[in-house]
Amino acid sequence: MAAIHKLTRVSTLLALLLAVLISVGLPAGYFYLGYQSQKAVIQTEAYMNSIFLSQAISESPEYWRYEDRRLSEVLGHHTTKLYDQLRSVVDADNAVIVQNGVAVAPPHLTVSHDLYDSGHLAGRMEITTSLRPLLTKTLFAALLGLIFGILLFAILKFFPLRALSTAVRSIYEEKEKAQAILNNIPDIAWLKDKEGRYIAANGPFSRTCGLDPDKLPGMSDFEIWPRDLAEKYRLDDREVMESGKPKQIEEAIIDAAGRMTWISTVKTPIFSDRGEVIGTTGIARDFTERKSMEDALRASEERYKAVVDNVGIGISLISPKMEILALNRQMKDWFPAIEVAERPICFRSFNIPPRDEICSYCPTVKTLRDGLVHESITETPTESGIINYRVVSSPLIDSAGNVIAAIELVEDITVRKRAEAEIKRLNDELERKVEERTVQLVAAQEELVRKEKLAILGQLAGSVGHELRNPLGVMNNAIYFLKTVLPESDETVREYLNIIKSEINNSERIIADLLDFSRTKTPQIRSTTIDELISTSIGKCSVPDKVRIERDIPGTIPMLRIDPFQMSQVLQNLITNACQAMPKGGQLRISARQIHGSTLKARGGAGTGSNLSAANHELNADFIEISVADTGEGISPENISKLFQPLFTTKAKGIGLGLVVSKRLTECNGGCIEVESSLSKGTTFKLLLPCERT
Amino acid sequence: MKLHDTGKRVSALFWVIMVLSFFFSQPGGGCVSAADTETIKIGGTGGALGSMKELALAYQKKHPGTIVRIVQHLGTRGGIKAVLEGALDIGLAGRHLSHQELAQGLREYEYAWSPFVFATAGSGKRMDLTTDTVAKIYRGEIRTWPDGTPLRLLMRPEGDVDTIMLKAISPEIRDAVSRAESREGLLLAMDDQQNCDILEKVNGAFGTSTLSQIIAEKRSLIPLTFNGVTPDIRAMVSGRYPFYKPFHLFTGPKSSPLSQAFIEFVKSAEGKRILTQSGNHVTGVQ
Repeated sequence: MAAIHKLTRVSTLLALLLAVLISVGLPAGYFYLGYQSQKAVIQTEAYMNSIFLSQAISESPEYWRYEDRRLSEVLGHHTTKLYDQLRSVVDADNAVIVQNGVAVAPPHLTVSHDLYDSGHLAGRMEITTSLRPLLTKTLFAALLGLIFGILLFAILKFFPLRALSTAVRSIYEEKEKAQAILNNIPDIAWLKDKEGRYIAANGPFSRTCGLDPDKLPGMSDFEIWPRDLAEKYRLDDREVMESGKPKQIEEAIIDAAGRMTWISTVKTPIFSDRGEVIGTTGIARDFTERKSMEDALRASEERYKAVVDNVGIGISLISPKMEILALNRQMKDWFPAIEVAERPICFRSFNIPPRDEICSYCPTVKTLRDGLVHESITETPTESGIINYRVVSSPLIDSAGNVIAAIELVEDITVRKRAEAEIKRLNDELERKVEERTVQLVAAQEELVRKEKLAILGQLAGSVGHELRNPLGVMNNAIYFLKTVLPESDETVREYLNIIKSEINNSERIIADLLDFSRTKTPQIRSTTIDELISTSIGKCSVPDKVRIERDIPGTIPMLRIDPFQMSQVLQNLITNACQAMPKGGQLRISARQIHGSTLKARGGAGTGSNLSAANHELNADFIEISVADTGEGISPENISKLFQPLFTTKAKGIGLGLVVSKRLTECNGGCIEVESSLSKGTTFKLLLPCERT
Repeated sequence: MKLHDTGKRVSALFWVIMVLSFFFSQPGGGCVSAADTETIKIGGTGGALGSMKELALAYQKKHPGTIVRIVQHLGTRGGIKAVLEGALDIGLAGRHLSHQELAQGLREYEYAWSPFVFATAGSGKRMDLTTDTVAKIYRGEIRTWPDGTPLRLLMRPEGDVDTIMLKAISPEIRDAVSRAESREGLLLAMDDQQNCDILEKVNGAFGTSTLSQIIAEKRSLIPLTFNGVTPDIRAMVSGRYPFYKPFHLFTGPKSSPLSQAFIEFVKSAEGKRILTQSGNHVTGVQ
């Protein structure tokens, strides 16, 4: 602010000086010019008058003194009146010869010119004029000058000065701000002019160089630093000014205390409004401590980098834009074509051919989105095929909690995955085999149990059947007797007799089953026609009227090679079951067709619930398939597997041995039995029986 | 040898001529010696100088030892001053001397009147003047002669006797002359001789003069009629022509004794005859 006051005082003084100069100079100049002009005019007039007067004197050297009228006219009385002058002609004795004009008010201006008589001094001519008019005009000029001076002072004082003062104040404030900023910069900061002289510097600078900050302006580097350093600084300044671009330098200096300090200096050119370089500015930061930390950090980084590079897994850093920011050595080995500097997009770089969109299994996207750890197994297409990587994505979070990148830990598990797949396959195979063996074992065990059961059951059934058959025969004879002796018996008696008769038949049939079950007879194989077999079987069954029988037996079908009695018993059993499955009536369809051994081989060589190979049949033999199909309620799937188990029955009056016996008889005849059923649609039993070769 | 003799003779002749030339060139040399001559110096108003020259010639014939020198360009006032200082013996005035002038020891003698005339040169510039005409001329309202040629007005100095007499003709003319004095570019004659010279030389010039000067100096000027009256001695004496200029001779305390003899000659019959022939009306008032 002192500078402003000083400038204000100086400018005020300057304005006052100019005003005074105008106030004084204008009238003085006017008077001087007017005086010189007036003097020049009367000098000219005096000269001209002197010419005529000298001529008159020469013409009448003795009497010119008396030619006052002539002389007076030469002096010009009109002129003297007009210009307020007094013109006189004086002879050599200073006697006034003639005088024109009036008394002139003082002060005067007198100009004289000598008069000659043929070269001899005869007198002189004087013109005296008053300076009062000129002084009066000068007074007006002074007044005008005073007004101009006051105006000038006012203009200079209140307008430019105010603007100048404002500008200076603004500059001062800006300078103060700049100085304050400069002083508040913790780093070393300074400004230099084009010649390398310091304009300003802050406290850290003065502390470093050990000089008073107020003494720094105007000093050069050569006055502050050792010569070698100063020359280097000057060279740097020139380079910055010539290039017009900032320059960053890191260097070690030795401060005033002899302590070595590492500084990072940024020198920047200062440009004027016209774009000319007018100096440089510099900021130097003491980074000795930071450098130590950086060195330590660098060593640590190198260690970590060595670890990261030498670890057996790949590590990459992925930006939120899916750009690859960094890769460790393992990743570079896996993906040698990737250039991190170019920051390629990961899903384009990691896949060959490149993908156009983010991988569907990418865990990094999820991590970048929710900041959590995600993992996934990739199927990365490469030139050598699909490579499986196990990618574990972890977030890299800044201090504000934002996910700024994702760290991918990548492990090539292709071999392991293949091994696991092979192990799994082997396990599956083993399990399948175990299961198969287990099934076989269970089946064998079940078969063994079943056979044991059947053996026990057969023994029991044979004993029981044998012991019960005789009483039943007696009871059957008794019924026959009663019907014979009581032909006129009432209806109720006949009804009960029939019931007894029916129940005796059922009991005999059960006993027959038990006996068949307990002892299997060796089949008497002979050629039998299907029609005969079927007709015989149907004829032995009591088919309800509501059941309609349909037969479909091709005429060219070969003859069967079976025990007709046993297989008729099987067919009877199947027809009886079918009729019982259709209590409301339905259709019983019995069909037959020839099946060649090769076709049977293509079908797997086995039927449901039976095994032809087990029956020692050659698959090359031909077979006749006899189907007994009803349209009854069908059998539930859980019951189908139990159909051929002994003692399993869904009937109220059955004992569960019919189908067991049928199966055994069929297999004894070299065939097999299969069943297919659909609930609400019906059940089909298929008998596969050997036939004669065609 | 011949050549040598001829050179000696030329040299002797040269020295003889030089000696004779020196002798005859000395003041007072010749027939009349300086001790035998006396000079009467006369000067003053120019209008009287012509007549005075005639008188001087006659006087010198009658008094061979006396030289009458006529000094020009002095005017009445210059003459008075010169007579008072002894530079002149006899002064000439175109007016009566004032009491102050007389009080300084001057003695005047009015020897003649002469018509104060308006004159021009050339016969084609005839114009009969009136007071009104003269006033118009001096006011600049009449700027051409009747034949259409330009009329160039010739002025005299403001304090000159002619100007005073002109203004005295009438108030109208006085105003007109005063206005003409402030006009620029008008012709101005410093003395009577220059006045007549300009009237003669400048075509169409119009000014004032006296009949005696025109006649005595044999000027080619024509006095113009005023109100139809030709300005001559008879018309002036009879009063039909009212304007005239009185001429005076005056002497001072320092005038030589010979001046009185010359004045006596002027008063003599021969003097009167010469004056009358020069266009003057001899008055002879002391």
